[in-house]
Amino acid sequence: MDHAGTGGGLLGADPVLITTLVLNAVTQASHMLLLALGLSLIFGVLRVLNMAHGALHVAGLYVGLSVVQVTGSWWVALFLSPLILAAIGAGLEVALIRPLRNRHPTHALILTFGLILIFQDIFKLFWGVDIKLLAEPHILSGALTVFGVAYPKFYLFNIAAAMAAVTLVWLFLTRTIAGRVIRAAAQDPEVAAAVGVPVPRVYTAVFALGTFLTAFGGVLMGTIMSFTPAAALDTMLYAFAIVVIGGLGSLPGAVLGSLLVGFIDAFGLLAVPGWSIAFVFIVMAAVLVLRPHGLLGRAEA
Amino acid sequence: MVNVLSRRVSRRRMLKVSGAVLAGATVPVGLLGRNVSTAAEPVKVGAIGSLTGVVSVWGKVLKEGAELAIEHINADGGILGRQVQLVLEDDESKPDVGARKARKLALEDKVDVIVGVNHSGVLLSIVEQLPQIEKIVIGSCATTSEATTQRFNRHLFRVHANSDQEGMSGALYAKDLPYKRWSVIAPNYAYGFETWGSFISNLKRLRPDIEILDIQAWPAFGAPDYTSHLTRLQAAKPHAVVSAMWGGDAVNLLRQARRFGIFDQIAFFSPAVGALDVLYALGDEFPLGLYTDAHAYWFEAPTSDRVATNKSFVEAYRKKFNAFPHSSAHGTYAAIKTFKRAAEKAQSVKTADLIAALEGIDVDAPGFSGTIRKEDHQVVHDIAWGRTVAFNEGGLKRGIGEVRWTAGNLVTPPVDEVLQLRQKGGKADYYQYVKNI
Repeated sequence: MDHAGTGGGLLGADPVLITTLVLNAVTQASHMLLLALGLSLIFGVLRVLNMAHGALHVAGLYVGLSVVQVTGSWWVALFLSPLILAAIGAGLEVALIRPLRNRHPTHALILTFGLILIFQDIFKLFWGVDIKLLAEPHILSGALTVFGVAYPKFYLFNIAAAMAAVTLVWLFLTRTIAGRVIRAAAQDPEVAAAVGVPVPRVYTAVFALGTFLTAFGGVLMGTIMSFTPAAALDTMLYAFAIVVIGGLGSLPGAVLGSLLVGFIDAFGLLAVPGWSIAFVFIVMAAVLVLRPHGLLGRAEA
Repeated sequence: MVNVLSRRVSRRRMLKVSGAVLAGATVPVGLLGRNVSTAAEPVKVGAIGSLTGVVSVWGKVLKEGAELAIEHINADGGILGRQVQLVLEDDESKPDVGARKARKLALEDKVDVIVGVNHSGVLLSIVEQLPQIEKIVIGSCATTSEATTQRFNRHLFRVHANSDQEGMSGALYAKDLPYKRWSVIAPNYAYGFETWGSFISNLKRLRPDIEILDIQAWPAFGAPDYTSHLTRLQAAKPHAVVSAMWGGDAVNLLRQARRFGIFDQIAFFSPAVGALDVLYALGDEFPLGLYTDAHAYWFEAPTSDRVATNKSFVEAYRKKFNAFPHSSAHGTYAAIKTFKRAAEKAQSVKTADLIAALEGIDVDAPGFSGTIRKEDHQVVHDIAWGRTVAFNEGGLKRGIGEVRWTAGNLVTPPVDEVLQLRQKGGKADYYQYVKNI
């Protein structure tokens, strides 16, 4: 009788199981990264914790659904839906976030929390409460053998897409003039404005970019799983845990936080089944207590 | 004859008025207004469902089932000559919210009866409130057996199968199949534990040769990612898996399991993954050959005595809502029809009268008929399991074929067993098969 993998511990578990779990962890880390990257970016530059970030993530699926209905193409949806949402994000920033600029940060927090509820109602109004999902394109269905494990092609595509996105964002911020302008605006908005940086416009652009990333992730997530309007709030919990662990405003922190959460989720299950979700939030609490600015975040002056 | 009747009515009304006047001497005026309510006032039916959250479709169809029942009843002259009015509340799949909404329906809206409830955790918390708020619930969806066994109180009735019955009927279907190594993936609360416990304990009794694996998956309700649970389960190489996933959780589970080729290797038994919300959501992606009972109601498979009734129900539902009726809609429709029957039998909508009338009453659901047992208020009806097959009508891509019926008395724990467990309290014996939580 085959009892491979029946033990609770890691030692003695079969290599296929371990490899698959590593791939699962990295897949989940890529979801999380696309969700958290924009959140962290927006916070890093605008100093606004956008509670509606998860709602914009879920909106990526809903808008993507309508794009697929009109164009019939998942690939068009993968890029067009984030573009549409980036435009919506820019509009939100100009209309709602900008006027709160010099107010206490809790105002923006409460406002964006209110947006979650509005988004949920919009989802219900236009798309209903039914479970929604996107079908994967044919070329990405089925499995591919990697490291001796048959793994779903779509999950591998997800990993590649997240890696590409984070690399592009990093190159943009470090190697382009626009990127330098953004970093200048993030570091010291007043000095940046004095030397001619159009700070308000930079903020709008960054908010749009952050929204693009999360909506892009939303289309991918909606193809792996399914959403109901309720996901707008639930996703936010995870995004929040990641940026707190990694450090709010830190991009390497978002990467590290995502990987940590992915691995904790996948392997926590082997160690203590049923506790893996709690692990993520235990780690978050520990980071908050021991290193309040996150693993890779900078302490505020 | 007519004369006698009308005289009797007027006498009763006179008594009522004089009673109210007498009562007025001792009770506050606010209550007096209630006592002299006229016959023209509508009968109020409160309905509680999960209208938001991962199982929001179940709440939506529950509401639709209630609306159709009330439309039919009102067109037919109402209940005791009074029109019926629906008051709907959302429990958000949260036990505390459900309990609060039940109190609100009873105390503020002053409904005459409460129907519905999708989530077992919510039902259990509502049940505790009922004696205090002096209302009955006619449960139409949530299946937890605990509610009619250990946590029984006289205010809960149920018009559809509970998880013991669903599990036991599944075991009877599975006993002739060759699968030997069994495991489970189910949400880690009452509904998940009971569905698996009942299924596997009955199967073990019928088939002592089966092996029950220690590697089991118990994710939280509403947790969207099952990938690593599935990887771990797959590595344990079960022949068959029982699942109590439902709603959005079931959709996520099936999508993920299909991509990992799990359905090519492992047989899959689940009451609620075959429910209509999941079939609609997944379309062509829904795997063929899964074993299910569609949460105890499949609109294409009524019992032989209900063919015509079921057909007209399905047609009316389809016409009004442009979809086939889900088990949760069917159950709620049946609950309100049963309420009408009880109210007419008792000639009253008072809680105590309704309780007396409902004990032992026949339930004429569109798809099956049954009887509510006096001792535990649980309906006993026949249950059919089948397998998912290709289907193409009204937006559905999968249906249920190879349907096999089991008689209600064979799938229901006998009364003495239920009473014994109620007396003993604690968990049912089958919890011994729940491992690795």
